[in-house]
Amino acid sequence: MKNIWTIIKKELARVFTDKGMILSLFLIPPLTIYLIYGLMGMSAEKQSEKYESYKATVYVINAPGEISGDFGESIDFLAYLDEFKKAAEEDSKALQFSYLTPQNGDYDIATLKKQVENEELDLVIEFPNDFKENVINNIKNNEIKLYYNINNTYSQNVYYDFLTKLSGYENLLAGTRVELEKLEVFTINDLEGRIGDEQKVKGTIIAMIMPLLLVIYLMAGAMGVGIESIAGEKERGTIATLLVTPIKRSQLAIGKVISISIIAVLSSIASFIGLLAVLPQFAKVAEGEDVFGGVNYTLGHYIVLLLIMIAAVLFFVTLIVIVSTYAKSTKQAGTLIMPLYLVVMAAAFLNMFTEEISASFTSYLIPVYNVVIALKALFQFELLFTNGLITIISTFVYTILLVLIIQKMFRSEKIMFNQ
Amino acid sequence: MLRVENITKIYKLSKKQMRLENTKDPRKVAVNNVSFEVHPGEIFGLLGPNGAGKTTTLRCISTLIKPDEGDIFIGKERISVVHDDDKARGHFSFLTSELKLEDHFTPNYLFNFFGSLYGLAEDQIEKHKEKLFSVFGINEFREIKVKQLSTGMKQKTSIAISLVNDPEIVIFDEPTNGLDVLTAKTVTDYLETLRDEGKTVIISTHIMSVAAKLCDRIGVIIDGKLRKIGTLQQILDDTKTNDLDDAFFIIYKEAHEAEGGVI
Ligand SMILES: Nc1ncnc2c1ncn2[C@@H]1O[C@H](COP(=O)(O)OP(=O)(O)OP(=O)(O)O)[C@@H](O)[C@H]1O
Ligand SMILES: [Mg+2]
Repeated sequence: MKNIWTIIKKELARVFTDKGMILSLFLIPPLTIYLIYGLMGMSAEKQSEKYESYKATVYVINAPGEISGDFGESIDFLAYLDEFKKAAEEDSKALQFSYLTPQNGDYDIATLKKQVENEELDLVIEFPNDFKENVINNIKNNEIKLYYNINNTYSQNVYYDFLTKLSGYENLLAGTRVELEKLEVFTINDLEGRIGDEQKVKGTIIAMIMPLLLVIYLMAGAMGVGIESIAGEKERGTIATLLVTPIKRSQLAIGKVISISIIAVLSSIASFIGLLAVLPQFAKVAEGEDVFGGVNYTLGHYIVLLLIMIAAVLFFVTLIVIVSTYAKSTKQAGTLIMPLYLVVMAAAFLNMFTEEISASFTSYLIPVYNVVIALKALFQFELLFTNGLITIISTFVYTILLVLIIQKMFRSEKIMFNQ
Repeated sequence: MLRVENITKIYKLSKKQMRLENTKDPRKVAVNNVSFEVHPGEIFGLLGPNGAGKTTTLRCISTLIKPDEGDIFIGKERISVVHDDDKARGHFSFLTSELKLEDHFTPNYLFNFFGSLYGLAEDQIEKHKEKLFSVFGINEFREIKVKQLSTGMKQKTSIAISLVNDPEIVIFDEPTNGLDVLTAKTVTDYLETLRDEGKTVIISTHIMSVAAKLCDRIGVIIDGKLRKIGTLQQILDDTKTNDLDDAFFIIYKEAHEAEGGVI
């Protein structure tokens, strides 16, 4: 035990007395995370400012008039909108909009959709022809269709805004009615009305880039130290000096793995602090809305995030230690680690563009991939407890297996003396 | 006390090495059935040309590699280097003239670091440090990082550090390689001091004068085989020559005739 500690102390001294290493491991990663996301947050903020002075155009088809219920008449829909229009004139933060309705009841939905796509219209609300009768007769499937442009932030914001207005309208209608089963007055169909390119939308969602960036930093931190501390010592021959001392090969291996892990974990905690500093900023910018995932992370989220990060770091460290133990020189270690790095990046990248959070239990057993999907699910508030647990535990188990391999490698003269 | 008993070491050559060595045989017999003994209070020298198997033999003794056959025993308890390597390593130190200290640390730090790996108490480390640092004149640069030291300073430091455990057995591969005359003399003088303290010292060299001057007994190794072993005088008598250079040529020629080769 004492020997392992001696090795760890030396490795830590190596890093913490080196200004360059401190800079590249503990300062640059969190700063870049902070800056990159800070900039993204700023541009998002700018957009929401522009949004304040933006005047939206909404097209309303078949707007229902007053509808009589058990407790009298409900308000006319357009009159309902007029109230918001008036209120918005006083409050610059509220959505400024005007609405159009079809002349003589004539409209062509295809033309309207084109206009949404060309950003001439922000939103089209299509009430069914027989909306009023459906409400009165309490017909289910009373479906309002919404059309909006998913590539246009204005259009999206208008859409979100009108979802709230419509649910307010539904409450008004329900307020005039007695029976419970009549409280659901209509449903909203906004699926067919998503106009634009779906992939483009996903690219903007923070949850998709964050895992990639984190994984890159976790890996990069462990890579530098790991290569230097093992392949470097082999290359310079200093490992031989260690191997003739009475320290056991397995102790030396463990000492190396632990010290590199400590440094890499500290480095990722530094990155984590950068994230902590920047995440609330997003919550402020995109209040509760889907574009940025409604970023209201709880303490539980942060703890799981930290655990996953630590498990991932330990796993990467052992992978890197294996490669740099096997390599003859730092250069070769770098070359050999590249494919590994690319695989990890690919796992993170591919995931950026996959639609669903994989719910299958087995995907959370696949090394590296499990970390990426777990992080993504976490940022989207959809990580199941069991899946998080499986990710963390399986990653630790893989790490232990790899450590056993490393110990074996340290006992092999072929590997330790393959200059 | 050190006993080497019939050790053989065979390297498996990679494709690239086979091309470099211009051979089709992937097996390279680097050490071939070598046996010898070194006693306390004696300097034993392995003398041989480049590629003879000196470094390989010394690496087998120092547990860095394992012989394919044979065994090596150290001390009165006959600790097997091959089977009990963790235990054996506390009893010797292995030095080479190749640089092998981590650049980033000072001689003082490294001395303490290795001292604690050998399980020495702090006061023991200080005692050995005081002695070795003054013998090799390290005190002036003990707090300067290795990367800022000259080659000679680095080598002195690496020798001092290798001796941190005050070992019974000192193994030194090419002790004067790359050293200037003054430093080389400090080193050989110190090896004599160690011998006089009763240590078992084994060195390798390809330099006749070093072998002749420093070694109490010499083993001549050629192509992995130990061809001659004895004191300088015995070797000269055996080959009927009066200097080691001539003796070496005769032994070398005999070796090649025995193998049916040409020089
Ligand atoms: N790791 C290795 N793999 C394959 N062959 C090796 C290896 N190390 C040494 N050899 C070969 O074994 C033989 C003996 O090498 P060794 O280094 O023991 O010689 P040496 O007597 O120390 O030579 P020198 O005076 O050049 O240091 C040489 O032919 C060498 O090429
Ligand atoms: Mg050699």
